[in-house]
Amino acid sequence: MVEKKRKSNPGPLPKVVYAEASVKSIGGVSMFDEPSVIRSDTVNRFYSESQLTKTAVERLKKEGFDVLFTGETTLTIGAPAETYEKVFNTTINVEDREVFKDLGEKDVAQFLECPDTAMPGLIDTKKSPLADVLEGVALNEPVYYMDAPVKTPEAKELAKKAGMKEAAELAEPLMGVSPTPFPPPVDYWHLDVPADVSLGLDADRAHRMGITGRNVKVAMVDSGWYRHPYFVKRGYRVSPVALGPSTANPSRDEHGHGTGESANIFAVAPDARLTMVKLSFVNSVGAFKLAMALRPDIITCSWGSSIRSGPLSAANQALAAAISLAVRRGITVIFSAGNGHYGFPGQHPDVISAGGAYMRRDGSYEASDYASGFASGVYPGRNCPDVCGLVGMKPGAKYIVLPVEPKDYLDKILSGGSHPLGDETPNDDGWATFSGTSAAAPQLAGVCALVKQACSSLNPAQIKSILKHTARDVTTGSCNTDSGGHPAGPGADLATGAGLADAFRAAFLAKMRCMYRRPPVVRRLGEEIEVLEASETPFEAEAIAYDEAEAWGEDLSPIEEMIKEI
Amino acid sequence: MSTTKSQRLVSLEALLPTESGRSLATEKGPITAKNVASFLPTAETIAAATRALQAEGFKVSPSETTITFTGSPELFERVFSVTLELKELEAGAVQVILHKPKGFKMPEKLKGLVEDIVAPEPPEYFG
Repeated sequence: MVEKKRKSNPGPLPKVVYAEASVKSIGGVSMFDEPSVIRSDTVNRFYSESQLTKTAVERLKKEGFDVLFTGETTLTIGAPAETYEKVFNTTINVEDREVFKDLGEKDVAQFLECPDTAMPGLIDTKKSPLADVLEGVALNEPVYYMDAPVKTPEAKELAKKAGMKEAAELAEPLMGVSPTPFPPPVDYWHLDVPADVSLGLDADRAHRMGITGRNVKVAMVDSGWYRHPYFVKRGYRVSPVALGPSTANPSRDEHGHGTGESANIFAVAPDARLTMVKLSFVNSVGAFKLAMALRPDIITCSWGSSIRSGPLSAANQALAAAISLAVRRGITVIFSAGNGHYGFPGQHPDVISAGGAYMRRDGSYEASDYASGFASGVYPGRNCPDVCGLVGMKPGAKYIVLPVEPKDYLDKILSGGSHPLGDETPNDDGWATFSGTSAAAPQLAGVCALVKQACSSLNPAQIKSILKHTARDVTTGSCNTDSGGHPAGPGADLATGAGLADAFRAAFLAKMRCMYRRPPVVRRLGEEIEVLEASETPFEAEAIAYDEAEAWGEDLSPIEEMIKEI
Repeated sequence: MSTTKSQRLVSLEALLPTESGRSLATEKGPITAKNVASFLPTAETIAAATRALQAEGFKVSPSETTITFTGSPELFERVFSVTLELKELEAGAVQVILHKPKGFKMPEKLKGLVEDIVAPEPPEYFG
């Protein structure tokens, strides 16, 4: 055993330990034994044979590891510390070490350490049953390059409000913090998840039909996902977080946006399976493509930029191409339209553009003056949004109380004060009140999950069509003045598109669509319904070409008539 | 270059030549599900570009549309003769701004394999 110099202060181990497992390199020398620096001209030697990588993935899974990402040189894995200790016949300790964070800030960080090896954080695999496929396992270290100090005057002001010195404090370690699964009581009109959001989108009735999003996979590209008791206690199904380009810490959501907004999906589709793809501001295209590679049924994104007119930049065309290909492959893609923005990709013709309607205390609706509504200057003829979710009003749209990682950016920045300036919740309780069209997109993802469960053969164009045809018309209020302030009125309009999504009607219509290729022709005779012409054969198992389905998808009036009859 | 910058890893997108000759880098019209097929590189092009970028030392994640490739800012600057500016955003996030010199040319080793490189614009959360 090699004795290492260390400043040992063993603390509790994290529930899940993440590491990089190196499959045996084709050059015959382990990357951990290589004496010289691995450079661009030598890195090829440390790639692994694809068959051996495949075998390693299977055997790691068999031993109880989650394989989160298969890279060219290593596999990103996760498991409880006990699994590592058992499989690799070792011990994992926690150590405090001095580190320099961004801009030279001196601090102490916790590192995971294995006492059997000389290299910091390395686990020797020679004593394990995986010795023939793995050459070593490197425990993940904390990284700091994302913990930048507060720089802008606005950020400083927000930080001051949150009672902190630096943005780095927004990502404090979570040891000992355990938020409650129940939202805190607040003294203003708001919505709670899951009940109020489900009710507002008419999802309760779909649930009682047995349509809950079961077996539907939803990927969300956002700031990350924290395992909040809100989700755990309700037994929601969430796969391990996939790390997008330039992201780290799959168990943390330093911002809070992704964790909070994801609760909107489950409020509508409690049995859907969610995978969060952690997004950095460095490369949203790469993160979206990673979500696509997971082959979900639905991708939901609550972000974008404001673009009033074309042409698009090459980077945005790259994003447009990825979105178009996803839709062509049968993935339903939802993007937020924006909050006064001319949201892109929310205005892309292939996505479902999510706008906002506000539900008042008496259950009536009006257009949200926080959400965007506009005619696209990039895509002629494209009006946004297509359909709405539940979104608050100005200022700030603090409307839905959502679970977040305790002490994260949103928990702190929205805390305290009096509504609507603050959300009246503590800055460390793991709850914050917000919405925006960021909330609408995952709500619509939930509705799409119900539709997909009701009729799995529907393609994205058909699903969009169903959502639009079944939405409840919103006829009062107007959208955000920054995007034109268009008024809502009878029928489709720029303020709310087709109106507020209705999960029950959408799921019901989808079910009918799966039962009949063409509905029967019926005539009502008093209490009786006479079938004049039988329906055509069920088509659920039929494959539908994209173009054919898109053309077919627009005319729903015969089925709507039948629903009225029934 | 500062120590801080050298410790970061950033990723950009590589745009690849297509069989149709249409290009994401120069297309001004809408790209949608109906025409996206004409903007896709062939599998051979993707494989060749992947190998070429890996040989330069980048971590590469290929896809059917573009290639996401990751490395240190210095590596990008050295291989492509560009400058990367890192701008701090909210909650510790950073934005990468790619500065290409006037008359930017693809390095000889990547010519014909990679058409252009781009840094995606930082998105804003709509929450």
